[in-house]
Amino acid sequence: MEILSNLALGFSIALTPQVLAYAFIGCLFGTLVGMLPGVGPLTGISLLLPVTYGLNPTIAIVMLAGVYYGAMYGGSTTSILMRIPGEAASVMTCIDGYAMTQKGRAGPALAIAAIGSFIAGTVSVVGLMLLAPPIAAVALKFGPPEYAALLTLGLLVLAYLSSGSTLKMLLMALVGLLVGLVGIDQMSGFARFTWNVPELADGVGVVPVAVGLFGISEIMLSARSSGALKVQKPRLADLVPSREEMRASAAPILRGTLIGFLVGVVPGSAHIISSFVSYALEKKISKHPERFGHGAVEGVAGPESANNSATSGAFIPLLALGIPSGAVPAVMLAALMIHGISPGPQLMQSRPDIFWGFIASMYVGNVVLLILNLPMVGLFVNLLRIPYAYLYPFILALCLLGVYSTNQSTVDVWIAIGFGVLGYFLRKLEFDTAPLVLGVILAPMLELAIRQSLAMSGGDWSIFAKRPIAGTMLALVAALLIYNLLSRGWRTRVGLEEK
Amino acid sequence: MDLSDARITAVIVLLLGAATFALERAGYRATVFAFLLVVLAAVERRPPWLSILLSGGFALGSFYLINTVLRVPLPVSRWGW
Amino acid sequence: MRFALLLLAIFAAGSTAAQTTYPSRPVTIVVPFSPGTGIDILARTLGERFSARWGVPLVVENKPGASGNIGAESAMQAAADGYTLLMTATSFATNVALAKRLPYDPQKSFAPVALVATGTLALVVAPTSPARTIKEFVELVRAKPGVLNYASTGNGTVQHLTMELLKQALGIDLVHVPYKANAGAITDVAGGHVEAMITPVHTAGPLVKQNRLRMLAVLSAERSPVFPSVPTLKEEGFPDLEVEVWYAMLAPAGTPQPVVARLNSEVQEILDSNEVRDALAKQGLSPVGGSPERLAELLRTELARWPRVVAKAGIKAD
Repeated sequence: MEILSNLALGFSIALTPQVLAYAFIGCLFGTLVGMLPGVGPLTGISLLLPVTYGLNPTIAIVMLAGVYYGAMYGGSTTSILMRIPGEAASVMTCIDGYAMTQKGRAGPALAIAAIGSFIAGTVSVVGLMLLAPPIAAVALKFGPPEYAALLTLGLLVLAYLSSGSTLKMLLMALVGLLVGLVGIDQMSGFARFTWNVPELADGVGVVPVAVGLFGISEIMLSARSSGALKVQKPRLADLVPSREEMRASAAPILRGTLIGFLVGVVPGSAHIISSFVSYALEKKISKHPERFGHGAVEGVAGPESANNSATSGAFIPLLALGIPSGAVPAVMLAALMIHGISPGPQLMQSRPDIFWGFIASMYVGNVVLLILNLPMVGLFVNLLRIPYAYLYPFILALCLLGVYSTNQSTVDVWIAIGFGVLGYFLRKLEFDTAPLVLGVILAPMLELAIRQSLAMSGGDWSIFAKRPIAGTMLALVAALLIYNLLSRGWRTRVGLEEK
Repeated sequence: MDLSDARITAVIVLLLGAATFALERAGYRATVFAFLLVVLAAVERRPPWLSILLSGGFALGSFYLINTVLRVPLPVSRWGW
Repeated sequence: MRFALLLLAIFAAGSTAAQTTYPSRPVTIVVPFSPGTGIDILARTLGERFSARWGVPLVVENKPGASGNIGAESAMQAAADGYTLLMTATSFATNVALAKRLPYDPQKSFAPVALVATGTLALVVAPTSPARTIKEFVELVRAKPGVLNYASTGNGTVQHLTMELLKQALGIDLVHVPYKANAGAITDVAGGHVEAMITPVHTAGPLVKQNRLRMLAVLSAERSPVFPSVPTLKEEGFPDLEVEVWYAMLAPAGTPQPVVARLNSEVQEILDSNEVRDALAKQGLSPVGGSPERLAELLRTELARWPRVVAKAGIKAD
């Protein structure tokens, strides 16, 4: 099989000590960067880019891809251990991941996150390898109407995210949507709710919101209960996932991989919602959905896998077509071009060593990260034994540092603090804060997509129905809504019927 | 609504606010050092020498790691630190 | 107590900026856009070279927001001692045309240091479009005013304003569909969802080579060396529109002349090196350099030109 021989070529390039060393450096760097809340893969890659100028292209790309993957892994670590999302995509992991930490299962949570990410990463690279050209062609068919339909589907996901009252969930989502609309409107140039604060011109930013809502509020709620979380010296059983946990994680990992891959392929920034979609799916099909939010391992396995495979999925349009599907692939594109590589279909023919070397390096990157992360699980769990009174000031300082460094802006920190206070009250009142974050992410994208579609059609709303992909997705949304209305379970929950 | 932790929450918010305000004026190291010191020594009543050590270590260490090694700029006050 | 004094001493020592030759401590260059963007990569490229030559790090500080205004304001407020610089691009001039009031004065708040690089803009259309030459395109659009769309990277961006300029000069009417970033916009043109857009040559390059985009004309005085078969507007008999994306380095007003001169010559030498020329060429940028006066001249021209375009097109921004 041609692919196997190509892969062999790729591995022969990727497994040289030099390449491995650079991959390791990239992964380590990326993990460090990812652990800092707010500072993400984009910053990490941009930092290392000038350093790569003198290196040969394969090494440069391998190192930068390592940063990207490493950042995704690093973000999960802070999410699980401290309930601080490293970036928007790690928000869902905070919920059950931290709950597991509170029950003394931090080690298994970290391990499952690492293993799930590894499996998702490697499987999705296979997908990338085999399916890149055809998928890329389909991805091109996604225009604003399709994008709007996809995001509407994402909105529907909100309905499945909440464990409590639907009304509360809707309220949170609404607040999130409103917050997401702050900023200068793309189409007309009018400023909305910016109160002459220039930093708000580009919107509130999901990172300060997430860090404040999840991380800072958690500290406010827990600071009083000073004293260690779970005190004993960890035994092996506390570090390693139990058999039930492993078994429970298997299917969510596979489902998460698939979801992440599909969502990641779509050009644009929709891949952020892959972890949200995975969480909602796992909750919906679980036999005991009430466990979610209290340490259900599926709530970690699914979203983490979705995250990582979305990462690979996002590279498909780049490698196959030379089209970057978001900010990070755009930098990778610039990096590739600086090294004289023009990605696209001819890349496979003209420079198979680069193409397959890159693919092989993604495998290698995933392995390196697994090796890097698993031993650190023990280290991190030991860190948790430090009395909380010593820990939380540093966590707060870390939040301060991370949120500030993203945009060198104190306004972001104020936003984080504000949302921290909001989160404090919301949790006291038993509101689920995840829908709010999803609203903040979705609102600007959805609104822009709808208005672009209308601009394209000259104001004609039927554009959504006329285009096949968009129409199908919207029909799906409608069907799901109707199904929910008719299903008894939902109606009782909302109060339309007695139990 | 159980507001028994309201006091410490308010203190945290106040301190964070002060730190944010001071961040670009007094520089990262001084602000973070002061913030950590106040929380550890005044709020949590940990031994002073230990608080100073930990606060200073974190403030200087993180500054070195992020600003110097990673070259992500952190605020430096007008007086050079 | 002693420990506190010790710490104080360390801090104080760090702040005694020696009055020796420039530069004697790290220099910051403010990039008013997110990491990974073209301007950011350019600044980091320069930064690496500066650091190597001076032995003192040049650190990039990303301060994105408000189309570059936040970063500009921050740089303006910094001390004019040559230790804070600003990297800026065409949006510096276009912002003036759009904003009712700016926190800085584009002419007076900054001292020009050097014009670093320029990039050529091109008009591209979707592969599904019937227009194969610029003439056909103009006829096509004139026949269907207000029906066809064009993409841009956002309201008020260079791509948007340039297309408006083009519309005014060629007498055509296209509907504006703004996007948030270049990636989304160009993808949708390639996918045929939007008809046309103005984009830098190097961004369109890979796609044009794959026949997923068609480049109809370049908006420069001469043909692009990367695409020698694409004509300029002038050649096709249309008004000679030359719009370039330019990247420049500025310093806060009042920065001492010798420092500016030193920076300028360093930039010139860096731009002369083969490695940098090569890296820039691969990104589709042409190194420029030249004296600070050359930059000042460019700024004057640009600042005069864009308000006219905006006024005529009726574009609003906050």
